[in-house]
Amino acid sequence: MTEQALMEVMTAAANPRRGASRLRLLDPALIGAVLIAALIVLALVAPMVSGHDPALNNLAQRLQPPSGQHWFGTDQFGRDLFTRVFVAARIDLLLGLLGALIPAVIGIGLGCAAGYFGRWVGTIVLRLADVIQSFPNYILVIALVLLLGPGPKSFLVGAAISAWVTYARLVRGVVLRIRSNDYIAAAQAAGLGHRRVLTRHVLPNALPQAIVYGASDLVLSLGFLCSLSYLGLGVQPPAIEWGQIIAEGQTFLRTQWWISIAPGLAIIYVGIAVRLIAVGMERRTTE
Amino acid sequence: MIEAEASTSSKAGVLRIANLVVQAGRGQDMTAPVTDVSLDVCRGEAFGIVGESGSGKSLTLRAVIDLLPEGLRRSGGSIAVRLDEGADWVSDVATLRGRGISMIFQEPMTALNPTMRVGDIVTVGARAHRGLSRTQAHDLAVELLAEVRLPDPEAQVRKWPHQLSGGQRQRVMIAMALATDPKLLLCDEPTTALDVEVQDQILQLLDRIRRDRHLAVIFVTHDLGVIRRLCERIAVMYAGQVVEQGTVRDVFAAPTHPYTAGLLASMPTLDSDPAHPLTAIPGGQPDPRERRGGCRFADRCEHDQPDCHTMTYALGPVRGHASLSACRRADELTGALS
Repeated sequence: MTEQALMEVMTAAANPRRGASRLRLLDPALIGAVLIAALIVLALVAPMVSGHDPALNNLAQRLQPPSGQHWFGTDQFGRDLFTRVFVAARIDLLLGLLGALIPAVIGIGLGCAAGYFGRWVGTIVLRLADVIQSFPNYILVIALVLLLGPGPKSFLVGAAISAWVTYARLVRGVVLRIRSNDYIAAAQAAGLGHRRVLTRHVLPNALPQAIVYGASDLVLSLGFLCSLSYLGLGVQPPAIEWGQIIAEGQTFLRTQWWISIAPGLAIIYVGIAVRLIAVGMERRTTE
Repeated sequence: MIEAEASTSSKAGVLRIANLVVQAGRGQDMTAPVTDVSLDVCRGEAFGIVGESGSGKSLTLRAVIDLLPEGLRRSGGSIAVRLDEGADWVSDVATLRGRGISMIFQEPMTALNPTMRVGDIVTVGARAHRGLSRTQAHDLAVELLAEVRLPDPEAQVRKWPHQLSGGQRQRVMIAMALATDPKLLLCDEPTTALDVEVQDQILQLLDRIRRDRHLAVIFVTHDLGVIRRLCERIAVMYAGQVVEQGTVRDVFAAPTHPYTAGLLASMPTLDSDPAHPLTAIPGGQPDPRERRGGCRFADRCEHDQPDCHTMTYALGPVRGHASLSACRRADELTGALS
């Protein structure tokens, strides 16, 4: 009887939103997702909405403040900043996502292996993580730029090399805890090989926490991409990117402040939206 | 003794453990939580291993499918399994996981993967080995859930583990163990974590399944009541050793080791005399790191003599009894013990 009651409480706790539909609107993950979706839509249709070509120079219209014709103003070549900032979102969102996804896959894989097999596999992964962490990320990527040349490739390789470490440490810890559960022993006792036990029994239970961290890491990845582009080591013109627009506007910061402000706000906007998604997911996994 | 041997050899052996040693650590830190354990289990037989926590009973069981916890390893002795009469004995037991040997675990709350539905959990092993289709797996799951007497098996298949009670989870785990059609079922304290009423139902279920499927079942437990109800033969483990082995009837009627006698005296029964309180064995098991020579039970034994603390005595026959005992004074003590 007490067990039945306990199960009911646990089932209710597992579905906290059941019957509380007015709370659904306040779900941070949903708000974040809507914000990102809106940005993606605008990124795709911005040139049509504004009627300007993001790359078209118009020196007669250079350095215009925000107005009815140029909503975010224009830069030193007279290009429409509204169109440029939203078109830049295409590259920033895509590369930012890849910059988190690639290390996430590597880190989760290595973390699972380190936690599950332990012993020398764990030792190798942890020592490797120590080595990577002893280099500051930027130094590592600047070295890579010297090797591979500036561009998105250096950013992605740099992210893949450096950012997996946190995923691996996190997932290793989670897997160590999971491994002591009898369901892992039960899967092994049923004759499953290591690959099946890892993919079907360990990974699905470790993934939620890795994804929650991944949402925060996405913001870091975007910041990293924009910083590199700002320094001229990331995305190269004619491709349009936020960090690069900020760098172009820097010279005019005292007089034509709007050039750098618009992409800066865009980065903050994405940061807030992604953080909301992370908070929402965190709530779901801890409840 | 002679009688017991005759009765085992007439049945087909399924499991043979000889001089099993399980070790932890290396060099200076090396300890042996299990030393020199030998057992035989026959087809269709229910065999009980009883002992307190740390006696090595669970490790012995896990060694049978080569699933020792990390840091522990089998360092001596042999384990061999023969699934069919006339087949060869297999000593690479890891290959028999899910192919003739299954295991049931103690903690139903953590023994089911929370990210899988009940139907998938039950058929995990069967799908891996037999390549069942989706519908075949579903049908098998329904059939097995019916066999373990879960009401409305069609509906259970789609449930998640957190929607089930402890007893229901244990039934799901039994269904999972049966899915690969085992000949040998290992039960590690299968009812310890359950309510008393549920315990009773699960034990009945296991007993019925053993008879229906003609399974060899090993129960590891600290509960002598479970063993008395379900098992034909018993091994009593203490500090990593088997100290007494025999049929349940013989051991319960006339224990031949002071430790077994102490265990029986500490067990309440319906006909216990309320005037005589249950007795406890004073002290605790010796730490495996601090074992010295002599009988490991000697420090707690009320019948100990100076020789008991220095001379080791292995499991052997006792005069006038069918059971085997590791007590060097067994011959003279049996009258005093029962």
